Amino acid sequence: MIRTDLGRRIELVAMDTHFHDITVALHRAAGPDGRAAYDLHSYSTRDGARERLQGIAAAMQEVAGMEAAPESPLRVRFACGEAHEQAVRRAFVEACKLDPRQPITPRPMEVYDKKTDSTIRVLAEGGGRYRAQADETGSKVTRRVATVAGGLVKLAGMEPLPGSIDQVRFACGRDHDLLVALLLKLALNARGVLRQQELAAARGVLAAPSQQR
Amino acid sequence: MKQMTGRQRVLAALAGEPVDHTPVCNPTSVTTVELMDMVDATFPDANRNGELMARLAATSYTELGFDSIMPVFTIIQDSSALGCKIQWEQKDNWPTVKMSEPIWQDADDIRIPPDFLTHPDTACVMEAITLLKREYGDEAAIIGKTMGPWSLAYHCFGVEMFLLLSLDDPGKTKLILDRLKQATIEFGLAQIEAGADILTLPDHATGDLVSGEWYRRYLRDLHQEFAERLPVPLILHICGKTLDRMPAIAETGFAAFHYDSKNDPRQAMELTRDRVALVGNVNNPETLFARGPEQVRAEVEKNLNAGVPLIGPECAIPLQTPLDNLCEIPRAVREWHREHPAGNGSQDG
Repeated sequence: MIRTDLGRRIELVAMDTHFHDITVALHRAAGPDGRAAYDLHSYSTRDGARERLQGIAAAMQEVAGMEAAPESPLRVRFACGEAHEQAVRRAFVEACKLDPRQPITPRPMEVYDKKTDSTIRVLAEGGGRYRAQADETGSKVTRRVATVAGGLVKLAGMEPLPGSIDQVRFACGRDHDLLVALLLKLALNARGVLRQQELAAARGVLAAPSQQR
Repeated sequence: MKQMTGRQRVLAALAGEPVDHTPVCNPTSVTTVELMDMVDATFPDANRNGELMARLAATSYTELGFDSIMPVFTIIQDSSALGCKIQWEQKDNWPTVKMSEPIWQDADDIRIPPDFLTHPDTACVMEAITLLKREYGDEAAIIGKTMGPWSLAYHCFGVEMFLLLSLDDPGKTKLILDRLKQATIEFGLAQIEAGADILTLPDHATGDLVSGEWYRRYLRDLHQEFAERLPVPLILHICGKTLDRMPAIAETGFAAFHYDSKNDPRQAMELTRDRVALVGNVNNPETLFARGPEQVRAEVEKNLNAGVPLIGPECAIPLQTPLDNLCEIPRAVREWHREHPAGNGSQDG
């Protein structure tokens, strides 16, 4: 039966490679207290599907700093109560990629950047503000730092701080260190990540023969 | 008016007869990866196994609330049986013909294989239709699908080669189409025998590459022949802007034209009214796939307000389409009729 009690579907992994290629979806929900929350759902009737969803929910908590909602084991939310929908979509996709047989370890707040042979860090400055900085200097490094900050804006829905190229913040005014760490590596190539996202969404769209190759 | 079954509703609308309310009809696929999970029948197996195909197809009626069931999700079953090489893909994507490896170069190469109808990729279609007819035949309209010769020519000769031929050598182009029509007819008749109430006939003389003049030159007469030789209502499917060929399509004897969202419903109705029914038009990539139920409802209402007699998506829907959006189509039709008890014109007969 089609579930009519689920909220709007905001992300879909069409084939979960870690569990029989089932389809896993993330739906926007509203908790009983009105706080933004997200439900994980699959129409798969396979034994173990529910446990797999619980595993993904747990991974979202571990790597993105979300928390379990008390009303359902398949519902997650942020402690700040805000939606951060763009960031959650990405966190969901990343959580689905994690091998459930391996221990889940949160990512560090730094990433090695091959292009500049330097490490780029993101420092929490409190109040939901973050500053990207590198251990090297130079115009190329400065550009990469700005790229990371811009990437976090694109992938996490953060806001650039006016007049700054390396500072961003969450509109909720709360820190989300794990989420920033999760997205940091992706932020180095946000355009590529978004392109991949578009390609994944375009899969399964039937083209007329004249448009096929 | 007495409540009709889905089957009665669709068949009546195709015949231009009164209906209790506008039918929701899917001449092409409405399956999604989530429906595949729900009934444990996934691509590519559900495209090659009649039982899985039937189980997945039935969800359009049992889960989505459409009035029809259409098990032939792909556009390559007949081409596979003709000998084309197929990329079957996975659960989340459509199989395609490897058109870079055409199987024929010339009209004289065309051979309809003796096992065309017993090939596993066509036989599974007949098996699925038989199963669906047995299970749902009284309730929902069972729609089969046989590809038209223009589409088959693309698959067997390659798009570029065939289009260039249509420019350079009209005689040879017509010969190819004439020889390929046998496959269209044989596959269609076999599906009718298996229990199909209706056939969709996609013939991709699409608006982006083929003009209305080309349609009249190469396809109108052939389509008239199909309407005479295939004894069930036929639904022609062509993607893209097709207003320029709708008057010619209306002369073919097809029961309906499955039309694209690139065409305005009111204009399309003006060009076809009382000669061929229209179905489709609800946009796939932008509306059904990427937007929400409110936008779906708006497009359904636009068609109902224009008097379009059957409502449905414009083409095979994207496999990741949210189910909410699909369920909104029959919901919107029912609510529109509650607000418009006089109907949308199709009820006038």
